[in-house]
Amino acid sequence: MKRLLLALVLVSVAAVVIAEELAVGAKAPGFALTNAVDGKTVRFAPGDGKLSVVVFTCNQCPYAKAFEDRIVALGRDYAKRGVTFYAIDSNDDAAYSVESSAEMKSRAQAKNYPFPYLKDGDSRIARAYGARVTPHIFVVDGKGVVRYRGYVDDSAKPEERQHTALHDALDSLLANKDVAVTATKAFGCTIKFKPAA
Amino acid sequence: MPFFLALLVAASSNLTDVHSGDDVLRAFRSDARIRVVNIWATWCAPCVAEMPQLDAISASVRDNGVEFIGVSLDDAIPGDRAERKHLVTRFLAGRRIRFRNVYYVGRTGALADRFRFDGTIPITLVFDASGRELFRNEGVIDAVKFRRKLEDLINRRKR
Repeated sequence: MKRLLLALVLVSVAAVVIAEELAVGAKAPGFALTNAVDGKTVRFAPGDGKLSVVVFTCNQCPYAKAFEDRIVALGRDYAKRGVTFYAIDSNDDAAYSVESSAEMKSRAQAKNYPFPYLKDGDSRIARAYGARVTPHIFVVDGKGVVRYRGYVDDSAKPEERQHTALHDALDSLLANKDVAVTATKAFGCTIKFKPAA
Repeated sequence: MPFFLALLVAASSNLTDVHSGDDVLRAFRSDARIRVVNIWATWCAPCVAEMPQLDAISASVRDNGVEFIGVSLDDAIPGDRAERKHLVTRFLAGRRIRFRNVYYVGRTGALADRFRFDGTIPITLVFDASGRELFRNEGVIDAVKFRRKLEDLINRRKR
């Protein structure tokens, strides 16, 4: 009995620490976050009729950096086809100053981000999506439903990728087709969550 | 370079390349009854933070048939492989990490599938000699609890 109780306690602790990754088919949470680039509030209202990509990323993670140019290129290309990208940095900048809004602004300007770079200072939106790592992708259709979640590509090395998952998912959705692979395992640096108040 | 550091560099400079999770499991000493796999990377801050604790635990249970092998995922990031390996070697020497490490050169997704984890590191998996998983720790270890679990396993196997 003691063991069972311990197991239950452990399971409930794990459930608190690790938020469930938003399922494909689930309704995406909306948000209103400050764009580090210009200080303006950007709102995402799922169900706004637009195909959207929510990208959890950050400034420092080498794995996220390896995808940065690709995400910027995808953001630019797909904007022409009506897709809206939101890049979000959910890392706790009180513990990691490199993740501050000022550092985000420099990074976005240096790389000429074609999308807003939003500060999720209390990590609330990452928790709402169940994002674990950077980069971690959620594609949301015009009705506000998650249609793809996971990695950008299956390798951080562009020459080794075999599955360009984000690109494929967007092409399918733009063609009104089902997404062939709806969920993959996002890999990267763990999100440095701000401790819950 | 101090002599002991030179020895450590020499010991870790022959980081073996492994291509799969099965390669990792085959890398253990045949007499290791409990086999601990820690998957990490130098660019993973939580992994780096727990490394000294893993090393201390490894050293304390080494004589009880427990072997630790670290699996570096540094190769997952673009860059020159030799340079990256050198970085890992220097890291291990600099931190005086004594347990063996291997250098994973396969696809990260394949490793995550083989060991059934979601892609988040660090992760530490414990196997018996036949490759059966005994338990796992996702995320940074709690050193006290992890050591206790290993000691429980050791004691159970002694009985």
